[in-house]
Amino acid sequence: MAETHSLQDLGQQAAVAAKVFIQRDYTNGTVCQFQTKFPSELETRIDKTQFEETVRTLNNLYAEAEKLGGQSYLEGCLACLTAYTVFLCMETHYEKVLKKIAKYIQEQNDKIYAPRGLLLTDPIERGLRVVSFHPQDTKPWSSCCCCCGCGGCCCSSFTRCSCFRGHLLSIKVMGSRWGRRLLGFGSG
Amino acid sequence: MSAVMITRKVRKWEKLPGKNTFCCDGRVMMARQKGVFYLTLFLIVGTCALFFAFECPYLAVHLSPTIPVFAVVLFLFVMAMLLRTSFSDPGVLPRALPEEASFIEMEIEAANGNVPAGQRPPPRIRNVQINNQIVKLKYCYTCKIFRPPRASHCSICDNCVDRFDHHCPWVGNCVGKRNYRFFYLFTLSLSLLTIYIFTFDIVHVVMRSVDSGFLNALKETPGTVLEVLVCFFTLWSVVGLTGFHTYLISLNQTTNEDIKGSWSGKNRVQNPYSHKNIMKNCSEILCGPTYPSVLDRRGVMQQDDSPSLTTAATPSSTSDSTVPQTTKPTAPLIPNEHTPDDAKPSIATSTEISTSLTEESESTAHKVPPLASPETDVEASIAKAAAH
Repeated sequence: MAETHSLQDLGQQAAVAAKVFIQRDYTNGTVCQFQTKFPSELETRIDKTQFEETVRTLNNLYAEAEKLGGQSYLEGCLACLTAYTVFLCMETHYEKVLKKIAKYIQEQNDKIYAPRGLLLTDPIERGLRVVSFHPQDTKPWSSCCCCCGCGGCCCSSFTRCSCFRGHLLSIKVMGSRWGRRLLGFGSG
Repeated sequence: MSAVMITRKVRKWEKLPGKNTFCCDGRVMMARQKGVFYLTLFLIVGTCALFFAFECPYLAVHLSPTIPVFAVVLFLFVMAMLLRTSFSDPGVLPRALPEEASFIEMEIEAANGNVPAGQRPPPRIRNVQINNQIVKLKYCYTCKIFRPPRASHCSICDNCVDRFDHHCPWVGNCVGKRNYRFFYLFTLSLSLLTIYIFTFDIVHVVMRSVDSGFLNALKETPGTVLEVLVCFFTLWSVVGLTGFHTYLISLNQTTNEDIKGSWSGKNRVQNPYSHKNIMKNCSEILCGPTYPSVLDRRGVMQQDDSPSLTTAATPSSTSDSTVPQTTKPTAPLIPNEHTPDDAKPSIATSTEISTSLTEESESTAHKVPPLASPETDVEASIAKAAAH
């Protein structure tokens, strides 16, 4: 496993630092943007262009969500006139884009990151603070958040957990507590 | 690992660490102290009830039936905005999970290098450049994150709030990125409502006085006297507050920044967030995108692994616990204490203004008496408004 070698210089903390967090980029104000600098920890897993492409797409999507312009002003004014009750039956532009982002991340995980043993987490799950890359081990128990006991904090839904997916989908018990437990005992 | 079936779903709001109260299964989120909020509700509803009982029937007959209609519309708008401000998430930033916290911790250590034992570590500050302006991001020892620009830690709610404006006891919530526009519209519509009621109170009394003399008029409508008193005293504070916030919006500032004097022009520091255009600032704040809550309060916690955030115990049935990633956070997570040498300068900067506006001072977080002084936010604002 080429898990921790890139962090050897950090000694004992390597175990914890296996995850890579991409921080926000505030150069253009408080608009949600992430840094496109390629972290050296990921060098062994993916190539730079791939990483940059993903982050840039995310940045573009967030920029679209927070864009100021006729459309957002119209939405804001319309909502204000109805005392914001219109949002009870209408999705905001931002929410629509967030769905798009969730879909994009899912896609990227399936296509690119899961085969390379990485899991990309949707920034909304971390308060739009970070994009995180979780190195995944091939063994389901090793670094998967479903099993590490973190309370599902690292991935909010089990469907995102690529290492588990293969096992779970085949048994068709995904999502059920019993299924997970069953599997836990099975593979342990 | 016991395989007990727990039927009850645990939603994420139940595990949020801040000092908030939640109602309706997490849909409603407020601060814990709500006394002044109930007072606000009582004053608004009470005054309007008196207005509908005493003025409206008379004015609808003798003047115009549109008067009560307009009052009802205005009243409903005020209530909608008040409840929206009070019940929504002001833009709370979730605390860092252990992994993210230790990642940040490592970055800090790497940046600081080796600090000899016994020496103070340098203050945890990260400089970022925003629109060619250097802005300091401070580390929050409670939330274990570098606060984003404009965010601040509310000591009453014990949360970091994005684009923190102030904690308003009158609405019983923080005012921040997500509810600022509702707050502004609340103050604006409340000023209009107060002026409206006050005006028609006077009109009502004058009309009755013409008929039956001033003293008899007062005897006929005792509610009006009370209304006039309430309206007279709220008028100045609410209108002043609205004026102050209009001024802030046109400059794209927050109350917090204004009180700290962040962009007061000293050292050529200018507000990097302003568009330098009053219209653009106003439309951004009042009609800009509606930000979603990042807390996911109604999300369901994954139940079977206990939601302990500090230690991740590997399930005992596994044999793979030798793999490095799972032998877990023994990393030096700093305790939930604040290093006093770091927290103090931030308080010292705001000593010139003696208001107890409750940003920043986490070190006093637990000593603040409930609702330090309810007037502060209105009065501070008015004092400020007068100064400008």
